[in-house]
Amino acid sequence: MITSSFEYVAPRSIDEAFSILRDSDGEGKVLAGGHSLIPLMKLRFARPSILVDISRIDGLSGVDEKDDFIEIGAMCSHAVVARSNLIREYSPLLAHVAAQIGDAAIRYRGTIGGSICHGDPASDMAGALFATGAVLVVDGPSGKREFKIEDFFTGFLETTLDPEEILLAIKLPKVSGKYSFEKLQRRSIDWAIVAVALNQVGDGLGVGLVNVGPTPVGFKLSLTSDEDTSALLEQFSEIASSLTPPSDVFGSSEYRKEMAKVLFSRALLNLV
Amino acid sequence: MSLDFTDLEVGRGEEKLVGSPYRRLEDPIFITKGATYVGDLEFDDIAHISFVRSPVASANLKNVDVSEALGQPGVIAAFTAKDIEIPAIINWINKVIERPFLAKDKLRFVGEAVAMVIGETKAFAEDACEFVNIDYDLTTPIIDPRQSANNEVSLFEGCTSNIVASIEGGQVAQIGEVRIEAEFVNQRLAPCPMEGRAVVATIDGEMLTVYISNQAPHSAKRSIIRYLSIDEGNLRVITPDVGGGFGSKIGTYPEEILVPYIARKLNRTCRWVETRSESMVSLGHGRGQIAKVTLGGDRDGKIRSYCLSVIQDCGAYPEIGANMPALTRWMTSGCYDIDSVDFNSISVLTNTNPTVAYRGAGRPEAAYAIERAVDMFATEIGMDKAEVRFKNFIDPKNFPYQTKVGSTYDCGNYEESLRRVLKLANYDELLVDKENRIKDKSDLLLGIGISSYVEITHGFPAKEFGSVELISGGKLSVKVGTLSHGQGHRSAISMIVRDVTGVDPCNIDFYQGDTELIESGVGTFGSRSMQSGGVACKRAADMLVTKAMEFLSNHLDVDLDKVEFSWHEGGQFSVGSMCLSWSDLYRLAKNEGKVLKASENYESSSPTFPFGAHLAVVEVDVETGKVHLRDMFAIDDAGNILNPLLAKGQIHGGLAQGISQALYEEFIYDQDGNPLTATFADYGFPTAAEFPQFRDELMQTPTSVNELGVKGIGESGTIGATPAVVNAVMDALSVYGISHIDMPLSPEKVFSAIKIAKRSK
Amino acid sequence: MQIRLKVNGEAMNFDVEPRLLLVELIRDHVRLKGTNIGCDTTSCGACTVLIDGHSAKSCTVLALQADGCEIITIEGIGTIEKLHPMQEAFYKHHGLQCGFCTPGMIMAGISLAGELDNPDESEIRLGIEGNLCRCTGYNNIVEAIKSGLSEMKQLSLSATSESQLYPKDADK
Repeated sequence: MITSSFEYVAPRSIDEAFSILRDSDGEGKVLAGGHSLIPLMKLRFARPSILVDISRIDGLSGVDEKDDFIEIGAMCSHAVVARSNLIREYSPLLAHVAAQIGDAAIRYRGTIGGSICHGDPASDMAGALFATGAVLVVDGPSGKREFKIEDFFTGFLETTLDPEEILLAIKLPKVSGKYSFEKLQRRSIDWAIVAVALNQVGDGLGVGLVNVGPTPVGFKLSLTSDEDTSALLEQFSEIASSLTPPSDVFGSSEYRKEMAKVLFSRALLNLV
Repeated sequence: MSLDFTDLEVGRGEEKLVGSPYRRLEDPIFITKGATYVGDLEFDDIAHISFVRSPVASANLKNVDVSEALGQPGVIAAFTAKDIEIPAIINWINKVIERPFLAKDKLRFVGEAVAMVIGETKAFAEDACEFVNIDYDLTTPIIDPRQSANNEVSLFEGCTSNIVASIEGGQVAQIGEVRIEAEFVNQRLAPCPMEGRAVVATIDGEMLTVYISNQAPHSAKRSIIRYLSIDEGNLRVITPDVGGGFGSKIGTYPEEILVPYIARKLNRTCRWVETRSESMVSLGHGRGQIAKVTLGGDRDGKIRSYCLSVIQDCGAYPEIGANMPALTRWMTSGCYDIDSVDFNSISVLTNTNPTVAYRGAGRPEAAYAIERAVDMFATEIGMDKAEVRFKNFIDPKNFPYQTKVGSTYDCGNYEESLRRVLKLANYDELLVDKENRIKDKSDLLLGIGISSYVEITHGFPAKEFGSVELISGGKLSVKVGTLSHGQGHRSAISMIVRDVTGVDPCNIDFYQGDTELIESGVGTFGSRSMQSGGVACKRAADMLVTKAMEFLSNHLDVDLDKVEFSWHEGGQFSVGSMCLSWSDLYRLAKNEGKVLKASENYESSSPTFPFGAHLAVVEVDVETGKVHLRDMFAIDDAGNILNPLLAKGQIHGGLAQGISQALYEEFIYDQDGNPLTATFADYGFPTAAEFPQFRDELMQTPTSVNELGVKGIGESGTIGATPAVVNAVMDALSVYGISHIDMPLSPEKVFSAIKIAKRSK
Repeated sequence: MQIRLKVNGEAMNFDVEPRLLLVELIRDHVRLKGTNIGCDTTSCGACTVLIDGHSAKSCTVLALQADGCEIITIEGIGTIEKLHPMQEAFYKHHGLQCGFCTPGMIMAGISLAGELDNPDESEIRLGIEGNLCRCTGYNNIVEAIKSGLSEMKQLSLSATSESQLYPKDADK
């Protein structure tokens, strides 16, 4: 299938990108790796009239180590995230999850930034970022802003990002705690029916949930002691009962709720 | 790393090729440049066709307006039903039912073609499709076949009900101490050949050439002749390489007739290559059967009676799918010697995509029903599931064996295939492992599932064409009326011809899929090709040798019994001390203006009945309901094996599709008839990660139906694997008292069944 | 719009419409028909090629996105006279039937050389999960890729000699 027609621009600098987006009166759409957007365009579910390809802008695809965090360029592919030594050292959960997204070819082209900005509640990556307590660095007409991941998603396939803004990077605290990721799928290439990402961050347990509502979901549970799993399960159960997962051919809402609990308790057991 | 045919591990020199794992002759091109499919052919000045399809399952069609589409850039033409001046297709089952080429008056399923737009590029055509306006009034669709059977409103005016075909029966006496009753749904599947439908039609004066991705080019030609009223001599149908079919490309679809129709109308080369999105909703679907079984038996394990009642979902128009129950009926009683057997069926219309033959076509449904029922019977009487089968198999001494529904099985040894698969799988150890997990209260239960199957291949014996001609350089030209679409017929048939003539397969030019070059043909489906086209080519090769010897006897003026032929060393004719090659024969014949050629229209006397036993080992995660197929064992017997490499390839592919029906695939419509699985992202087409490495062995019980001793092997996997996998899951779940869950056994279905079972305990 | 890229080692220039997909560029403009289109949803992998040495689904890449890249298709890795080890392995193990998935499958198999060292069966199966085949049940494909990768290793072949696995400068 073929997309509807559009204009294409590939700015060489971030400022050039901003000015194109500003001039496009909200018709411009940022193109990262294209692996969420192009399939939708081919099915003509999405019809942006101007595509702003930010892949030619320098400085968006590196992984940087700072004092107490690491910064991942929004244009880093899932393959890079999966293999980066810095990420493997300081945020092993993220590398572990990135290695399971889509398939090998998709991981080479799909980017962490594109995936997050798509705002899909079924995104494994979003779940992992919730669990690690990521901060998103956004730039645009109103200047640089930073969002906690929990403030980023506003609705189904919607984020707080303004059409003229661009996600530049994801900041992750350096964490050395245990992590785990449990994903229930039909086929290995399907979106998760439900997935649970856990990461010990400081004295808390970061939780990211995949496909349990209109947006990606996450929260932090307090860890009193390593042995205290029943208290955690109880806390989780309470939160899980308020979730509103979708019903589709992969599973009903009710099933997803139950599976969130099962996967959460498995993830607790499998923390490494 | 050079490709050298002499480098083959087998088939060198002085051994017969048939029976050896000879590498495929098709592959060198396929792995370097890719095969050539219809969409790959290049033509000058080609126009591209896109179809606009019905967005709803049931509606009165008021108007289709293409005027806005016609004004779009790059649009050559646009057509609706009123522009198509060919009479509607009269249904072969029910003459009251007409299928228009483009929807007329009514919309009957989501995906039905409503209009067509022809553009200078595919993109222009697709763009303009968005400007075709369809005006309709929604009507209430019927999606559930059970509801359709009882519905007072018939979907076609002039029909008294939605039942378009039926088979009477079902008056079987219920005998035996134990009675098993169950309902099994064989869900609707999308065949998903990797290449979808594709057609190119080109015009050269009066001559129309149609390139089509199809399993039966001669029959496609007949369809086009019929609807386009074109002289036979003015139509040539060519199937280049075909990227899979699995039964879905046997027939000729309305769209495929429209492409040449429009090409003639516009006097221009036209192409239609369907997208996956249209293929999913309008390439014929498979299965779609609901079966009720009643099995009666005694506590000693003997099955006494068996009755199968079937409702077949035909979809919106009765196509080949409507006739699937006839094939199911043939195989009703499976591998078992049962006193009393009966069958009845109805085929009903619904507002869904029509059903057609899909790999196995009617036989997987039969095998599934009886193999599930036998397992339930074994559970009921507390007998081992293998043992109950051994007690009921048809005695190998009793072949040919006529079943109670009238099928005559040629030969078989069902005991042996089951014994072998149990041994291959280490059945006794598996049983211990399973019990241990139950004792340990493991959350990962083990399930072992057996299925013994017998099926029918070449079910409708029809004449098939094969010819062998001696050509320049002592090469052979082989032509056949079957049509490989992945099976590797070039290799298999070249091997057969080589073993007769001695001519190396590399010196055999192989032709199929061209109605101009091949005078007649039936095509490839129903696992028929080797036992029809293969035998025809074998006979033609035999006759060619005889003709060559006769020619030589005339030419040298010696008695025929002085001429000898040996297939060794490339084929050698000898008369006394004189030795001649095929190349010499060609020269001599040419000098006399003679062509050495033999043709055969071979008609087999009867179908053949391949059989086997499959064993699946699954692990069921009771907390999530997710089933993991740990192992799949298969013993398959299709008579003599021409090439184990190819035969095993067929088995593997069939196993995957069979397993996938059990665990992953279902084409789902919601209650309004909207498809919910219309892309590969939603439909459960399995990936490599879903399967273990299959462990299979071939068993060979030659049939006497044909001189090659071969049966078909194309569909066995889909027939045996599905019940084996479902039986395995039910075996694992038997601790909960769960006896059946309908396919596909998705995590949620299994989880819910366990939940309900736990609650009621 | 103008693009310049290398296809199978040959530099080429094209003037393309923005919406032209890389797979269409390869099939209709470069006129190499080995790369196929099998779905609309980036699911099937029939269109898999190598972009700068990594497998990519060319139906989900705009031709413009590939500007300046090095593309390798099935036609660029070997010939009948001199097969690539992965092609040889598919031939030897009967890793194909109808052939439609085959070019993409072979390219995906080659790409695995850059990410897996001595992969076991399940790693190969996951490694090709994005490439669907309806004919073979994947059995012989898995065998073929296993043997092809080991042969590639023996010969010290990576996906392409000119590319690296992942940009080393990503970690700063």
